[in-house]
Amino acid sequence: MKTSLSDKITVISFVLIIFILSITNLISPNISFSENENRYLAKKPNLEWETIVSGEYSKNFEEYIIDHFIHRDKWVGLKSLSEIAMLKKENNSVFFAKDGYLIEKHLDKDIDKEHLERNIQRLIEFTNKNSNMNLSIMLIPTASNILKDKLPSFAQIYDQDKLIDTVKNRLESGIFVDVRDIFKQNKDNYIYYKTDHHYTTKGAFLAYQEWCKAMGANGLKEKDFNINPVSKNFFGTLYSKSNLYTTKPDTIYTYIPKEKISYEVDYNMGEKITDTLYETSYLDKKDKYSMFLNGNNPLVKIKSSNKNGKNLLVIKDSFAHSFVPFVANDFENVHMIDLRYFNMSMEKYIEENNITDVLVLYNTINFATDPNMSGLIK
Amino acid sequence: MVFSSLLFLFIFFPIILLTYYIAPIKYRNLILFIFSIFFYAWGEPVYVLLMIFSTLVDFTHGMLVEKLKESGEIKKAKLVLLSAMVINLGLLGFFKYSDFLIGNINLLLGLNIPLLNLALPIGISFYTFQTMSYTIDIYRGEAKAQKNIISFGTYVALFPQLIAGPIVQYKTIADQLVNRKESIKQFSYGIRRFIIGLGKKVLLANNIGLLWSQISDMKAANLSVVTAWIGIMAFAFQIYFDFSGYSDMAIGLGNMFGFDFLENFNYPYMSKSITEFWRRWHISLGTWFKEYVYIPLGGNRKGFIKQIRNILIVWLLTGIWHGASWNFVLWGLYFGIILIIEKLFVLKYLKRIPNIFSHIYTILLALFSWVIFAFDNTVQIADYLKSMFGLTKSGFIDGQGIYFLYTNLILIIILAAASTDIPKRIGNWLMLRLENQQIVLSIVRNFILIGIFILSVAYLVDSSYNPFLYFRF
Repeated sequence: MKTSLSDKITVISFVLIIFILSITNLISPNISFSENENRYLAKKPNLEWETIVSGEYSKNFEEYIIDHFIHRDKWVGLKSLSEIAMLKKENNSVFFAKDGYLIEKHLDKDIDKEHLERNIQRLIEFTNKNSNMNLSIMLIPTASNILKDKLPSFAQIYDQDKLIDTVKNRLESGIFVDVRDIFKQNKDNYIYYKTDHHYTTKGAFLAYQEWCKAMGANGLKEKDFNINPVSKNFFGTLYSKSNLYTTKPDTIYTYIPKEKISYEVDYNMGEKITDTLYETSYLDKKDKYSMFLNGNNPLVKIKSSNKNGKNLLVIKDSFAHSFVPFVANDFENVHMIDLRYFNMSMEKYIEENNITDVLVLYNTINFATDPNMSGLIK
Repeated sequence: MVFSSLLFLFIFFPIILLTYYIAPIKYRNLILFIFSIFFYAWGEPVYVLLMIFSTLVDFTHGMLVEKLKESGEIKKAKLVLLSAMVINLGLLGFFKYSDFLIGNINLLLGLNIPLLNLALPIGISFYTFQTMSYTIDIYRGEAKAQKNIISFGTYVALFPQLIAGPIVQYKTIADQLVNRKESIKQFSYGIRRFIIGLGKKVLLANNIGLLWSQISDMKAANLSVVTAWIGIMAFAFQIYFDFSGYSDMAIGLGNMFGFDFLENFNYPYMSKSITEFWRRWHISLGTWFKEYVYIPLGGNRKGFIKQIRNILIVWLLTGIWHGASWNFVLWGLYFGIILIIEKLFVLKYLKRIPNIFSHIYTILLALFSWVIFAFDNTVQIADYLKSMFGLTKSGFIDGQGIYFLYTNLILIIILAAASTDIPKRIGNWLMLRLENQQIVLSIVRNFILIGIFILSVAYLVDSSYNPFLYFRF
C-alpha cells in the first residue's frame, strides 16, 4: 500500500505540534510566581553531582517542566472543561457544589484522632490556666457542614458536628461560642465564599454577633456599618485547587463603622505600622482575602481610639482576619497571635500586655489538624 | 523517564527524532543506543551500570556459545549458557527477591537478619528476560550471535521497550536491528499507536485510578457490596489501560524508528475463558514462559501429571515475577489452578453455553484475581472479598457507593467500551465508508487523534496523579 494523504497529515501535524510546543517552551520567559495558584513555581535545579546520582535532579527537573509549561492556565482550564463534561463532581478534594459553590472536601482519614485529642487537651489546659479572664472559644464550621444541601448528592464528608459537640461538652459551660445555629439560619445569605474556604465578611459578622451575645456585650448591629463591595473579582483558594474553569468570582465586602473610629495597626513588633485594617493593595493580586489585616502574620497589635482599657488576645488562624475588624471597635487593644510562628511564652505574653479577654478562634478542621497547639500552654 | 510526561514529549522526543533522522543510516543504532542509555539513566543514574553490565555479559556469552557450538563443543556451550543464566537470574534474584527471602527466613526461624532495602532497578525484570532469551536462542540455533556491540546494546537498551516491555525476543528484531527501512507509512502508524496509548494511560487509566485509590484507602472491611465491586472494577480498568497503553506507546515509538514489535495485548476482557484471557493479556510474558520454561520442561508431551506439574511451575514463576511478595505467589497459583481445571473439563462446557455466560465467568474470575493482586496482605484480601460478598455489616449499597457510581458513570461506560474491539470496528467501518473521500477521512481521523493528544497534554500539565503501575515489576 502506498502512503495515503491521511498518513502524511498525521506525520506533519504531529511533528509540528511537538516541535512548536517544545520551541515555544524553550524560548518563553520564566515566571517565578503563579498568581493563579498563589505559589512559587518550581525552580530549575542546579546541575550537581550528588543530586544527579541520587535521582533528585531529574525529579526536580520534571517538576520544573510541568510548572513552566507554556500557557499553563489554559491547559489546566481545558482539563477542567473535560472533567465537567464527564459529570465529575470533584477535583483535588474540592466538590463542585450547587449554585456555583466550590466546597472543600474533608474525609475521616484527613483527621488524625489522636492528634485531635491532644489538641483538645491542650485547649482545656489553656482554659483552666486562664479561668480568671473573659474567655471564649470559637470553632467555625467549614462550608461542608453548613451548606450540606449544596453538596453533590450522596457526597461523603467528615462529621464536624461531632467534633464541635465534643469540644463544647468538654469545656466548662459558657466558654464555647457555638455559631452553627445562626449560620444555618443564614445559609442562603452568602456567608461562605463560593471560591474560597473562608467565610464571607457577612459570615464573620454573624459570628461576631453570636460572640457578643455570649459575652453579654452590646456589639454593633448591621445597620451601624457602611457595607461596601471592595472587589467583585475574587478567585479564592478553592478555585486554584479545583481548577474549575467555569467558576464565577466572589465579591468581597467590608463593614466600615458609620461612627468614625481610628486604629493603629502594628505588624510583628514594628515591622510595619499602618492606620487601617485593610491592605487594599492585595485587591490587585490573586490572594485577595489577605486584604483583611495583611494576611498571615506572627503577631499583630491593633490599638483603637476606643479607650475602654479592655485588651483582647486572639489566638487564631486566618478565619480571624475578617472577624477581628469587628471586635477591634470594642477593645482598646487587640493582639492577634498565629501559633505557627509564635515562639514566646503565652503566659508571659498575657501578663506583660495586661490582657483582659482571650478568644481562641479557628475553623474546625484547622483546629483538629494544627500541629502548633502546644504553643497555647507554653 | 516515562513516555507519559511533558519531559519526554517535548524535550527528549523531539531531540532524538531530529538527531535520528538527520544522521546517516550507519549511525542510527549508535544514536538510539546513546539516547536509550540517557533515557534509562534519567530515572536510574546508578543502576544504569547494572544494565550495561548485563548487556556485556550476554554479548560475550552469546558470542562464546556460538563459537563453541560451531566447533562442536556442545557441553562447553551448555556450561557457558548456564553461566549466563546464573548471572542474569542472580542479578534479578539479588535485587528483587533478597529482602523477600530474608524476611521469610527471619519469620520462619525467628531470626533478625537486617533487610538490604535495595531499590528495585527499573525494568530489571524486563531486560534480564530479554537478554536471557538472546543467549538461549543462540544455543538453540534459533538466532545468530550479534557481532556488533552497538547493535546488541541497542537491542537491550532500546528505550521504547526498555522499562516495561513488551518483552521483545532477540530473534523477532534481529533482522531489523541491522536492516530496517523507516517509512512515512510506518511512522504515521507509530504516531497513531502512540497517541492512542498516551490517551489510554493519561485520560483513562489515571482517572479511574483516582477512584481506585480512594476506595483502596478505605477500610476493606467497611465497604458496601456496591462500593467493593466498583472498586475492583476500577482497579481492573486501571491496570489494563495503564499497561496496554504503555505497550501501545512502546509499539508506536518502535514504529517511528522503523521497528516492528509483537503485540502485547489483544482485548483481554473480551475473553470467554481464563485460558483465552492469558492468550490476550501480556502476551510477550506468556510467550516467554511458554518457550523458555513450559516447553523445555516437557510441556504437554510427557503425560497429564507432568503437564499439571509444568503448568503449576510456570504460574508460580509468573506470579513471583510480578513482585516479591506472597500475594503474587498466590495470584500465580490461582491462575495455574484455574487453567488446569479449565483444561480438565470446564473449557468443554464453556464452549456450549451462550457467550454471555462465558464472558461473565471470565470477568468474575479476573476481578477476583485483581483483589489478590492489589493487596499484599492476606487479611486485606480476605476483608475485601468479604465486602464483595456482603459478609460485612456495611450492607449492599450506601451513599458512598451511590456517589462513586454516578460521579464515575460516564467514565466507566467509556472504559467498558474501550476494553472491547467496538471502537476499532467503528473505525474500520468508517474507513470503508469513506474510502473514496480521502480528504474527509484524513480530516476526521487526524482531528480525533490530535484531540486526544492535546487533551492528554492538558491532563499532564495538571497532573496531581500520574503513577505507573508496572514500574514495580
